[in-house]
Amino acid sequence: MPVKVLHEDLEKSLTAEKGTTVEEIIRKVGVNPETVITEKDGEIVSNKETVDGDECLHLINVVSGG
Amino acid sequence: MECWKCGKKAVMHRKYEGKSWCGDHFVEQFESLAKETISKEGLFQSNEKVCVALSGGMDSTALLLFLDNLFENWRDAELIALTVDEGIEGYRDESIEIAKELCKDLDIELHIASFDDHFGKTLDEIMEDKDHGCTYCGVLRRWLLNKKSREIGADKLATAHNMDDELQSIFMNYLKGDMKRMVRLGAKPAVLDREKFVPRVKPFRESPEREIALYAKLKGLELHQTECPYVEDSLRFDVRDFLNDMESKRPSTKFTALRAFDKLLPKIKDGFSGDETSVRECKECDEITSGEVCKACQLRKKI
Ligand SMILES: [Zn+2]
Ligand SMILES: [Zn+2]
Repeated sequence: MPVKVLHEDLEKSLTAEKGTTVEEIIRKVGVNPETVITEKDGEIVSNKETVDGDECLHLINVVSGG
Repeated sequence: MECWKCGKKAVMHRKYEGKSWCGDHFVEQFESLAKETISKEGLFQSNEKVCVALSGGMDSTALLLFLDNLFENWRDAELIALTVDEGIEGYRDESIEIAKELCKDLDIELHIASFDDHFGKTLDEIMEDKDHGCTYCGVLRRWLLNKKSREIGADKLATAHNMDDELQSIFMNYLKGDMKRMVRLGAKPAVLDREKFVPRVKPFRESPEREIALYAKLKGLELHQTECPYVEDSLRFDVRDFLNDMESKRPSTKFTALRAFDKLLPKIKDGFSGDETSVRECKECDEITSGEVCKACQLRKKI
């Protein structure tokens, strides 16, 4: 099932099994879950939330300095 | 995933405590942690005029909002804000607008102190010389924050330093072997000269940066992290990445490390604090320093 991930200026598409957690997807795109908070279709979700397909995750950087 | 308290949809799962929180309960929990830091460390007294160092960034806007809310129930406490305008085109202008707007909304008196007015140059101009790094900005900003907050009659200067900032400083000083600077950390560092030096307090010292961001967002603040164009690839970033890697692999590492430092601090403080009798007024600007001429005045001559 396809998932779209937006992080900074990057947009990545990947496939993940149904029930994959947000944290697993963040790790899959090479980002440390400690450094972002995530919106799923515009709503803040916890890292334990699971994805069911055709979703867009927006990772917002929260570490200062870059 | 549901909130462990009320069963509503969670916005945060804290691995280090194994609990998930909904928005409302997260905010409640976040605020109670900061209140605990304030009362445990005795950061504020009644009748005080508290000045928030407001950069317009995420952490300091969240701090202003939080303190404004807190002080509403406190009699006689007064809240003001101070923004340093370093003069960084395209970067600082934007955050100053955010600071102005927030203070207007909250009806808080805002003071702005600029590098240009006090040092005769903006940071953009200072940085035209390639040898000038972040040290210049840091030293001059601290000097200005202290001088200006004292002039406007502040009893305390509240900064938005969070748990990540504090831990980075602890590790950096350790790695550099700078014990003297390390023992000056803490929620409420000791102040040698209250006449000259406005005591700094850090209400968010035990709050992770990531949670401050979530708090800010839930409180309706814009989360845009713009980066200073002069930012250097510094030891701080290496330490920051190391700590975040550790936290990600071994949840609660950061908390344990901060608590360990807080246990260590009272035991080593006296051993590494400087000689208090060496503190005097700077020959050039009258601010306090441990040498003849303060660091800010030394750098000022080179810009
Ligand atoms: Zn709840
Ligand atoms: Zn001086």
